[in-house]
Amino acid sequence: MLFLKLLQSLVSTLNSEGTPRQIAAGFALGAALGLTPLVNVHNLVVLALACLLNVSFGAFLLGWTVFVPLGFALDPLFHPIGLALLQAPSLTGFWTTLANTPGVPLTNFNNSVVLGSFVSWLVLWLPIFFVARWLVVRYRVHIFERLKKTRVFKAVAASKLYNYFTMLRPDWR
Amino acid sequence: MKLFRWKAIVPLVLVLALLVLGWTLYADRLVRKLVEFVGTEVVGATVELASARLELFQAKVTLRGLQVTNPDAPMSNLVQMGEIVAQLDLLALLEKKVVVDTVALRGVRFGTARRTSGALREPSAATGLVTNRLLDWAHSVPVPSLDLSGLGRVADFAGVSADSLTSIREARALVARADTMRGAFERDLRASDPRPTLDSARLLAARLRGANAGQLGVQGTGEALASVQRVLGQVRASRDRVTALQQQAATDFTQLQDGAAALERARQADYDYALRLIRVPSLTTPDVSMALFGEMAVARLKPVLYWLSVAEHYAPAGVKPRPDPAPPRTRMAGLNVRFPKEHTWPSFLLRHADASVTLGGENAAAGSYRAWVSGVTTEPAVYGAPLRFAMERTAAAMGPRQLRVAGLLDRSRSEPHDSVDALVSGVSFPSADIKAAGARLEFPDGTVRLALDRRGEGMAGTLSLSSAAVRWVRTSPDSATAAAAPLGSKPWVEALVWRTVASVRDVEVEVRFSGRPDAPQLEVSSNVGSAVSGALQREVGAEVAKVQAEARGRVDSIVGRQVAAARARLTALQSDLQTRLGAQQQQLQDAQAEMEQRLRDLGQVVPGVRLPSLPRIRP
Repeated sequence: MLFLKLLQSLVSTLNSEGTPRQIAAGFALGAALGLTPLVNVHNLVVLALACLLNVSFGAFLLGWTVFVPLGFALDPLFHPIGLALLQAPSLTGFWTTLANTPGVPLTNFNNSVVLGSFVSWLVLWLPIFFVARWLVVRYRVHIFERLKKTRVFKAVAASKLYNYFTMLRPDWR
Repeated sequence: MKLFRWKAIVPLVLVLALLVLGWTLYADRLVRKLVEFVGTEVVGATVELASARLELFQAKVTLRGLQVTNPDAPMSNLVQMGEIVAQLDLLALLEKKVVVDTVALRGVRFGTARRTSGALREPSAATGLVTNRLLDWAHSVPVPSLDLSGLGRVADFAGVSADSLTSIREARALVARADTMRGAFERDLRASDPRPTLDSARLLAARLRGANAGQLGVQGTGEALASVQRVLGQVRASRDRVTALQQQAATDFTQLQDGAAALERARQADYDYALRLIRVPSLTTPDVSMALFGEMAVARLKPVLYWLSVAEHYAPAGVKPRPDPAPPRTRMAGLNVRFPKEHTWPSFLLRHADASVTLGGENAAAGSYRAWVSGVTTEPAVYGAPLRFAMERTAAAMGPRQLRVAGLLDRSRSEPHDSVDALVSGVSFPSADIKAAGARLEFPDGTVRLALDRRGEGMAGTLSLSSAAVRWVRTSPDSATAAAAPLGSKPWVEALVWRTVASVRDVEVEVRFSGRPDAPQLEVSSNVGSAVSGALQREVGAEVAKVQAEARGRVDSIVGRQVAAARARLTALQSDLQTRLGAQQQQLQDAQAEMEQRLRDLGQVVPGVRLPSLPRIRP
């Protein structure tokens, strides 16, 4: 069931009227929610950006879904990255200022996994964006035309979920 | 194409409202989980909370049904509290810091029984470390046994050899240090050899002897004065170097003297080793007291050291960043690094709590208490003031007649200072097994006093237990064979100790501890130890003294020559260096006096008439 929904989301997103850039941007933003621990203030900011910016919301949800298992799997890697940054002597003054600035500590930046995963996402944001855009372009040129004629595609396109996604699609005014 | 999707604001606000609603519903549960997690981490045993209620706008948190397991006795609670109402500082919460302005407690009970064990299957890293360190310390405390089984046999000193004695190693180390010191001084003496300076001074003095300004003329006097000033400067510099060497030698000799004292202690340890090997213990009062009450002393001190170590870990001195385990979550928890900063709020602070509590019931804790605590914080250096606490029993329904505890834990400066003074009287204490007597000692009505003072890495204190009405309960089978048991055998010793202590009702035990806070050294003294020591001396004192003399003779025969050689080397070095440095100092002093005399002579135009003084030149 979960797999079918994921497939439906994937098909809907790839075939929406959004440009490849909008889809890729939404996907890269969604990666933040998947890669970093969910219950943190920075993810609220990412969610707000995904809603307010003219990016594909479907791609945002898809990116989230795809990157959740990756986030869990990569936690042992994020932890040393975050800890190295938090314990770097040259950054101690910066972290100390942040830790004692009202509101900032609520982001949990002083947690090794949160900081490690967030910084990793920041670094990976552009690569994810470019790879996703390239894949969407390739898909539309080479696969979409053939896929459009299949029964699965027609079923997905006719579903309620598809309608829901079109509400938040990039060209929705 | 527009960059912003303004119409999404309404759904976004709805999502945020849903999140706020969700947080409101789950905040209480989060607080409860957090209190349980942090409490369990700190105490090292299960901390449970029935419910928590956070009223954010009133900055108030109410905790109900708190149970803190006693880590030493997991089937009982250290403390149980019906309700805790804390008033928080809202601004501090924005920095994720908990600053408690006031706190009110209701339904406080101590030592209540638990239905299930509160022991942790896997204690936190910090408390696990503290527990293991304390166990290591407890095992390392030398508690002698009153094993006299070696008395009946011919003393066999075969195991006492050069390899097994520490005096030999200490003597070799002392000789090596003395040789190193001699080598270093020989180098320094060569480098600062004053002979060239002394020769120059002598030659110049001889050349100018009897000369004055009138004879040398203006130019000759100027040149002579310059020469004398130059050589005088060299002599003074040489004297400074020799003085520095004398001071260095004094410091190094003090350290070598410490080594010589360690050598004496090592020889004493070797005597003890030899006596242990042939199973003949020391019968002095301190050793017998330690044999009788050593295990009890370790058991009573363990909780004190445990809580000091926990305070050490969770309230460290200084403001360095520190990683701590993060609360568990579905994903990997990682570590939270704290970044304390002076003149801000610490991560946790309880400014002041004042309580007057009346405990009902019929157990020993029933009565009225007054207590206060201030400055409880996880970052004392940030808070900048010590933790102070005091508690006293104002009225007793049952249990102790007097209970008074006061203390101070100051970690606000780089050198920690802890001080605790506690007195409890009229209370029944846990009984202690006295193995040497084959008996159990019960304290139905006793007084305990604890005084502790810790400064930096050194700690000293006493734990006194006294009771005027103890009960001795024999636990070993009091067989008739004890009387016929061989001299010095275990039944023989037990029977003797039992006969001595069974009639003692008034017991005083004083445990003195000193040294490192995590592994202090213990000394025990007791009137019971004194009585048992006396009894043993009467019965087997002469025989023990004979065997002890044999053991000393054996050790001395092995280590005596090397120890004497080490001492002789030390004395020779000291004497040699002092003589040489003293001679150099004297020669330089004479040369300086000679040069100064020449200066005065040159200042005279004719004998008895001085020129105005010239400015002194010092290199």
